[in-house]
Parts: sequence; C-alpha cells; structure tokens
Amino acid sequence: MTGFFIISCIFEDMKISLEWLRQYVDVTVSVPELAAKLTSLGIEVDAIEDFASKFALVVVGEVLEVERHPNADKLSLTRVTIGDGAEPLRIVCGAPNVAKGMKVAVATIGADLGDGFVIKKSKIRGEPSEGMLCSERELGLSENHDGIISLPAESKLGSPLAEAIGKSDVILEIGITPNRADCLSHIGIAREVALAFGGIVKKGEINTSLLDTSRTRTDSVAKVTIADPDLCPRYAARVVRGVAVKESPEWLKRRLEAVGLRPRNNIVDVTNFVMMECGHPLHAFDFSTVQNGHIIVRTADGFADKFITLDDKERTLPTTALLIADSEKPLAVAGVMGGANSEITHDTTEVLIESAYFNPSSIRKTARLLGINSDAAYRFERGTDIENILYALDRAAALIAELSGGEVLDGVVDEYPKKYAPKEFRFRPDKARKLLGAKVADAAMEHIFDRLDMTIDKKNASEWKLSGPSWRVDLEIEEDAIEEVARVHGLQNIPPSTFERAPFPIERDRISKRVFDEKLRGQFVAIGFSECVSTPIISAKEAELFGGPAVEVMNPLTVDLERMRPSILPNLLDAARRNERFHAAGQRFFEMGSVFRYQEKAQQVAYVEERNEIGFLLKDIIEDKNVYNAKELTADIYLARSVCEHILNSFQVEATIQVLAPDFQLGRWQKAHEYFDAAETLVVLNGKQVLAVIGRVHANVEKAYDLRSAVYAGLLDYDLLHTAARKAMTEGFTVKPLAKYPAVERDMAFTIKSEVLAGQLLAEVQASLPKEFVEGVRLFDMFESKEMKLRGERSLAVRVKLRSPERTLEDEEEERIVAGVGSTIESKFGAKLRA
Amino acid sequence: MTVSDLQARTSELTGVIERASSTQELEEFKLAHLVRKGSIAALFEDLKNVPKDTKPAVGKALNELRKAVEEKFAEKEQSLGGGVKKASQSSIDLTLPSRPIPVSAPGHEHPLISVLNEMVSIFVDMGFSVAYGPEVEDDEHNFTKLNFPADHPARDMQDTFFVKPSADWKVGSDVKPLVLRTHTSPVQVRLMESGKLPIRAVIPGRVYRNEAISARSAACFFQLEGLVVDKGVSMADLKGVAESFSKQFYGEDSTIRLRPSFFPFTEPSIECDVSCYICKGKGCRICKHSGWLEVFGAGMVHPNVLKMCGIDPEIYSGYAFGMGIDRTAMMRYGVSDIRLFTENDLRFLEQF
Repeated sequence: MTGFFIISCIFEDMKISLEWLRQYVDVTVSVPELAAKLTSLGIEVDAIEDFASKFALVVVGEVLEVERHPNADKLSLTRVTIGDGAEPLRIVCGAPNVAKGMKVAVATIGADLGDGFVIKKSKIRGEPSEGMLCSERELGLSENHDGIISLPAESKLGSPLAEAIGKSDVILEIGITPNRADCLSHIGIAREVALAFGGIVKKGEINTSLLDTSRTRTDSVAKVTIADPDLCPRYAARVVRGVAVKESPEWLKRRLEAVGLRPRNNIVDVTNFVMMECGHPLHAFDFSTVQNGHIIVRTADGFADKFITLDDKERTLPTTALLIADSEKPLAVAGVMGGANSEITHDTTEVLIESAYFNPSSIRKTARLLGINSDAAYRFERGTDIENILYALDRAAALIAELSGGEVLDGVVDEYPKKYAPKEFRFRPDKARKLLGAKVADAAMEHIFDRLDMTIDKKNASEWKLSGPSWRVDLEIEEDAIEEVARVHGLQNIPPSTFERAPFPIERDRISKRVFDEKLRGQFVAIGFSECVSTPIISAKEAELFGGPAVEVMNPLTVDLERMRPSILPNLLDAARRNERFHAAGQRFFEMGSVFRYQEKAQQVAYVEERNEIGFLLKDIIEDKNVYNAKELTADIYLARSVCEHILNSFQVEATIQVLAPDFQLGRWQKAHEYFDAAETLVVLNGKQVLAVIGRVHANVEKAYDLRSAVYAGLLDYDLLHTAARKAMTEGFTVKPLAKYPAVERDMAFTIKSEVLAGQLLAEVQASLPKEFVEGVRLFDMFESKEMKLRGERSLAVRVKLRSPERTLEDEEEERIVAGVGSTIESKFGAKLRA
Repeated sequence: MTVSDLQARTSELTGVIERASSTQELEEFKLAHLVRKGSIAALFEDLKNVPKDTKPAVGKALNELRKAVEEKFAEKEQSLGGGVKKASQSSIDLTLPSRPIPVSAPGHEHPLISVLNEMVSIFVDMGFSVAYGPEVEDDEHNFTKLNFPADHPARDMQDTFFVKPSADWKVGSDVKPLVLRTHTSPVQVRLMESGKLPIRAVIPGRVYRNEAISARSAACFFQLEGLVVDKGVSMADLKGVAESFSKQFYGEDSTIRLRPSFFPFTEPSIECDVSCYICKGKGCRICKHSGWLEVFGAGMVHPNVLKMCGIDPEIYSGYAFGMGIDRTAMMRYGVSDIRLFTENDLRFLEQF
C-alpha cells in the first residue's frame, strides 16, 4: 500500500534466530536492549519470542507418586521432584495422563504463564498444591490440552524446560523496509548489530578443503550462456557429483525451523541455509536433467509458454519472464521458482548450484504476473549483492559436499558480462547539517561512513565523494547518505526546532473552506441533524437512479462498489434503510462530500467532474409524541424547506424558492425530476443558479431502497453556496436604526377557494398594503371543515405587522388599511373576510 | 351461521366501506375486520362449529364474503388515494410557507470528521493553511511525481482502484486509467506544481484502497498530510512540529520517538511514535505492550520529487508527514470495527 504509515503494511516480518546470529557477531547486550537499538536504527523489531526467559521458572520434574484426590474424582495428588534435593513438591493435577515415573514440565511457585496467571502456593479442594504440571497449551507450544507434557526420560531433572525441549533460542521478528534488502539475512542483521555496538562481523567459514576435490573441471561439463545481460548480469555455477540426497542433520533442520522454513533434504536445505545466512538466494538443479550441461539464461518469448513449477502447478509464462533453460526446455523461472523437471529428488546424484544476480524489476514483474511470492523473488526484487555471488556459491558447495558426501568439480563457471561498478555520489557535510538541522562534525560523519564500509574520498573537504559497499544497493544519492548519518548519529540527537521559517499566509479568505465547512456542520447539528460519512462507491444500478454518466471503477471489490456516487442521496437513503431496520423513531441526517460524473469537456483530471455536494434527509416522526404536550409531526416538504432556509439564512444567502416546473433545467441535478416526486419538489435559486433541490423521494426510489415510509431530502451545491456565503460576507450590510414607535399586528382570516394557493394570497396581501408601513406578512393558520371541503373552500389566516418609522399608527388608520386589504382579497379571489 | 346470515353481513360490510370518507376510516375498518384477528378471520374460525351437511355451502359463502369485502376495500382505497407508497396527490399546496423544524436535542458530529477537524485546527494554529485536491486522480500525481518506480508493488491491481478516464474509454486505449487516490500526497504534488513558494499546508481528505473490507480495513478512509517547503527547512523543524502536535493532540505529558523508515517520496524517512496515552508508556493492550503508538510517517521531501515538481532542491528543502484518521478515532473511542464509521447507524452516531 502507498502513502505514509500505510506503507508499513507491505513490510514482511523476517525471523532472526539469536543463537544463529551469534555465529557472526558478538551480542553482549540484553535482548530488549538489542531490540531497542535495532529499532532505533530503522530495523524494527516487532516481536520477541523468548521462551527461555518467559518460562524460566518452568523446569523438568519427575512424578514420584500419584494418588486419588480425596474430594474430587477428576483430580490427583502427586509428589514431584525437581531434582533439587529438597522435599518433593505436592502438586494437585487434573490431567488424565499423569503417571508415576513420568518426566513432566513443572511450573514452580512464581512462574508467570502470561495474562496475569502466576503460580502460587494454594489449596485445591482442601489439598495443598505447590506448582502446576503443564500442558502444551498452557505454555503456548500448541493447542493441545488433552493432557500434560510427557518429556523424554533422559531429560535432566531441574533443568529449564526450554533446554529440555530445544527452545532456548530467542527469535526476533523484524520488519525490514523495502530499501534495506541487505538486511534480509543473519549476516545482514549482524552488520547492523556491529554498527550499533561495535565489534566485527565474521562470515560463515567455507571449508575450502572440500572444494575443487574432483579432477574434472567444472567448465568441461557445464556451460552457461546469458542471452540477456541486462536481465542477468552475472551467473555463476558449480557442480557437485556423487551426492547422496537425504535428510539434513539436526543442526541444519533446527536452523531452518527456527526461521520458519520447512526442511526438505540436505541439498535444498543448504541452499536455503546459505540464503538465510548471507542473503543470497541460490538454486540447485538435478544436473542430469540439464541437456548437454548447457544452461541458457533467456526470456520465455518464443521459447516456452507453459511450465510446471516445483509446486506442481502448471504456469502460463509471460513472454517477458526470464528463464533458466537448456537448449530444449525451461528448467526454472529465474529468481522466482524452480521447475518440477529439474528438481532435486532422492535419485539425484549430480547437482548444479546456481548463484546469480537478476534484474530486480524483471523479477518483480514476473513474480507478480505469476502470483508467486517466494523467498528468492522477495530478495532478488529488492536487490541482492552481486559481489557476494562466489562466496554464496562456495559456501553452499562446501556444505553440500560435507553433508552429502559428493565431490565438487574443479573451478567455477562464472559468466559476468556486466561488471559491478560502485555508484559514486557527492556528499557535502554542510548540506547534511543543514537538512538535518543538527550539528554533526565532519569527523563524526566520516566515522559513520567508515563503519558502514563505505568508500570515502575527501580530496575536496566540502564535497566528498562516497560510494556504498556492494550490498547497500539503496545508497545512490547524497540524501541517502544523510539518512545514514541521521540514523547512526541518532534521531533522538536531532534537536527539535520551534522556529518556523515560512512566513504567515497573506492571502486571506473571508470564509475559507475549513471555516465554511465547520459552520455548515454546526448549523445542521444545531437543528438535530446527525452527520453521515459513507463510502462514496455504489452499485451501477443505484448510480443510474441518480444521474451520470457515473464514473466507473474498473476493478471493483464487489458489485456493490462499481461506480462513484453521482449524488449524496443514494448514501443517505442507504443510511435511512439501515436505521429503519433498527426502528429509529425519526431520522435526520446530513452528509457533505464529493460527487462524480463524466463530462464531455476535459476537467481538472481527465473527463471526471468532481464536485462537493451537501445532502440532507428527514423521515418519520420529527417531534416525538412521547415528550409531554408535544404534537406528533412527521416529515413533510414544509419541514424540509425550513431546513434549507435555515442553512441559507445562517450564511445570509438570499434565494428564491419555487415549485419545480416539469421543464425546468436542473443541470447536474436533472435526474431529480425523476428521483423526486414531481408533485412535491422545490427548487432553490440564487439569481439564475440552482442552489438546491428539495423534495419528497419518489415512490419508485423509496421502493428500490425498501423504505416503508416517506422520505424527504434536499441537495445543495456546496461550491455555489460557499461562493454566495462569501459574497454576502464581503458585501456586508449596514444596521437599520432601532424602531422608535410601536408595531401593531392585525389578523385576517379568509374563507377562500381551495385552488387559490397560499403563496398567491400572501403575495396579494403584501402588495395591497402600504409599503411604508409593512414589516411582515405571514400565514398563521390554515383550516378546512367538512362543509368547507364540500364547497371546495378553506380558511387561510394571515397576520400582518405594521409600523411607521415616524409616528404611532392611529386605530382608524389601521382599520382602514385592513379593510382595504380585505376588500381587495375578496374581490380578487372571491374570498370572504371572516373576522 | 347460515348462508343468508353471511350474505347480509357482506352487504353490511361493503356498505361501511362505501361510506368511508377518509383513509383513516379505511384503516380503522381494516384493523377491525381484515387483519389476522379481525371479524372475518373469526368467522372462518367458527366454521368448525357448522354442521357437517351445510358446511360446504357456508364455507363457499364465507369465501365469497371475504372476496367481496377485500375487492370493495381495494377499490375504495384506490379512490381515496390511500396507501403510503403511492405518489402524493397533486392537490398539495407547495406555496405554503415552511414550518420551522422542532429541535428537542442537537444532532451529532461524525467522530471521524471531529477528529480530523481537531487535528487540522492544531496545525492551523501553528500557521499551516489547508489544501484540498481531487479524489479521482491521475497516475502522474498519485505515483510518478511521488517517485514511485513504474513497477512499484503499490501500483498493482490489488491495492489501487482504477477508474475509467472518460465515459467512452476502452481497455487498450493509449490513455492511462485514472486512480482513486491511494493517499492525500497527490495534493502535495499539486501544491508544489503551482509554483507558489513557500508552502506550509495540511491536506485532509478521503483516500481509497482496494482491499477486502474487514473490521480492520476499509475501502475508503481519511488521512491528514502536511507539507512544508521553504529555504533551509530541516529535520529539526519536522521534529519540532511533530513534538508540538503530539503534545497538543495526545496531551502535555506525551513524548515522541522517531525511527528511521522508508517512503519513496521522502529521504531521509522517519516513523514517528508517541508515548501511549492510555498507559503512559508502561505498556498495555492498545499499544501492544510497547508503550508507543505509531502515529505518523514523515521525512524530508525527496529531491526527485522536488525536481519533478519544478523546485530546485539546491535552493529549497521541505518535509512532509501523514497520518491516518480512522485508526486514531478507533483508539480514542475504543471502536473495534472500522466499518461502524461508515454504516451511519444512529445507535452509533448518537453516542458522539
């Protein structure tokens, strides 16, 4: 995965055996200290498996006596000696397999078995118990809890259990970042240990007396041709004859098992051992299967397309895959996996050992295409040490000769068409100090590079020339060396600086996106709306309902995640469905986020238009009738409208809200004509721009989402609203002087034909009032009796607020105004003024 | 119960339906007669007491009764425009003014956004501006200019969602597919490309990854990144900002630890840990007994990245950092399943 912090997911943990590590470097510090220091060098120790220290108080004991527990059928009373000459321990045991003479694992008083379980002197059903006989599960060895562990008879009484079962080693689980290929082995880690604590690294010794033991020259039987030196700059091989393929000796199996590898046979195990020792992957071929002993390194293109790898799977080879072949057939996918046809078997007598360098990106590509993640490919794709090839080859050949009794042919075949040249780069000590913000002396840096086995040329004191050792494939530029200074000098030794150089920002937004965002959220929350965050990827079927053309995901996780949402609404409806299922009493939601569609004109990124949208939804009971004196109110278009008005008012944005006409062009919300109910949709305009659409979700859409009751929703254009808010803020306003004279309110109720819209009535009332006195006109009651209904009428009551800026209005004046309005309305709409 | 009784009952019930004038009356009728415990069901129950010889005829009449009543009911329901699923009537007066929405309690801010905003505010107070960028990105901004080699595993299909660049795009076209940004880092590239220096900004936003959804991993989550580019910016500055942020966000007594790490777009790269605020560094379940929480990745902007964005690394230097919001929110509120954040379940949201 990419990005900061997430990238750590791709680091695979490698196991390092402390016992094995000690073969190459002295470790004089405690395990926790070692782990902490390695971590501070960027070699992150994720876990420590230290059985011996963890279970130091678990020792070998022998059961001397077993009796039935007097108060419990399933328990036994035992007497166990741990060979300390003291009185045998009395231990109550529940295991069915406990028997006299058995060697057992005894957790003695004080032993901590993890999760706070510490062995204490206790009484079990009235009988004293001075320890515990352990099962494998109790010691985390396996899931087996059928009975207690039975140790071999020769186990030494009183010795730590770890020794008796061969678990005295400490295993470090280490996460290696992808740039540190040189650390993917015990010698690699040993170098870091030596760097941290001093000391020298001793490589595994090659028993040279076992090499070149045959008079036959290697190049007389084996030949190597490299067809593509860019993909394989070096290929070396040795041949061992007369080998006996058999099980590896205990020491070798133990090494491999400690790092999580399964032992196979003495040949393959040696190649794996050498890889885990020095980091260079090797491969062993049954030499008799190689036609004319001629190895050809070439790509699959035009040569082979199918191949059975040694896991017995038939693979289709990518044409670019690099192969190890002979004149007739492929023998291995180079650096990735060997072939079944040339595998080492129990009948193998001649072995060709391959030690080569392959181009990292070629290996990575082939491994990905084949879906193979082998230890070899893992190392080759990160970069191996091309100068270490002969060491690894000789080390393996000598070990194979030693373990299989074979003779090693004379000499090495070493094709090396592209010679290694160290990458030289400049290094300016001043630049390093400046970039780190730390005062590290020249001498200290030189010392660090020296300890890293780097080559230093200081002819120019202010601009050195450096190159890394062949195994540090990651050291290529000045900054890489600065990183080395940082980690060895110690990041903790860089002083934190509180001096920020960048000047304060000058450009100021009256209402930045951040402030606008926060205010918007605050306004929604204030009126009882909860914020949603949804995954903006939806199904194609859903996307179709809400507009488009929807942006298409080419490699969806599931069919539910194949289109980028063209609107916030589908996510809100999904939330409504979920909450309806859990019987939410009333729902108020909002969400802000990106919506996407394709445009015909090029956008910031290809043809994808990405905009911000605000969506809100309300459904079911808005006022809870369970609250005393409260009326039950369910979601409707008038409540939805008020939500929108609330938001607009809070930014002082002026807008007109009108009924959506069927032919009205809604731009990117055009589809709202379909997903909202035409009879209950309002459009909010700011000038000519469509700022929002509010409506009842169409019954068909409600059905598609399985919703059982009416849903009202609104969609607002984030950017337009933001712009309008900014404009309102920038333009500002001047306060009106406070009124000196009192206002009067007069109510008028009209019986009026039902087809006259409330909006028409209010507009007419407003128009017929003298402008200088009107302060407000609003509808305060609406009523419809059965009789009225039969006559096709209803009652609408209007409250008008009047005030003069210059004087107190006279009663007669008010009467006259109201009477005037009344008669205008009566004549205009054939209405009747009721009071 | 006789056949004639049932016939009389039929006309009685259909009459009631006929006279109903509202959907409410119809609903009451339904509850009294048509539901599982209604009067008609009771008649069926009584059928077992009818003498054997008349049973077939009575049974038939009863079935007819039910059919007639149900048909009449459906017809009336249609004419009254009942049934909640139907589109509303055109008689609704949309010009009626809005009704103020009653508020008995405020709603709830989403925890992810709250955490994100809290972090952003801390950086804003330290003089950072806030930058945003598209979620659908091109390969160049998401990978190439961030120094990702062409065959970096992060570019493989299993990690990245690929998106068609236009409606009529076809596989095999010369135009490369777009991606859903896998990190907020492409916004860093956009900031640097704009040529306005110096830069001191944080970038909050949504990022995507194509991984199986589970309690620990989501297809979409939030990140916050920061970028500072100026003359003479050093790792000491990065450390100062990291320390100040940690104290403000995780508490006055928190301490930080830097470890060397690796990211393609920074060199040197570091990982920043903060002392576990739950156990104060003593070791607990949340910090996996290490005493430290991994908080963010960071580093000095790689010279290749600066160069690709048109900035001379000999004159300018910079640092960048990035952190995950979801994991922080999970730790802060003890949320064990990341999916809770995007399910929008009120029972969850109402707790914040």
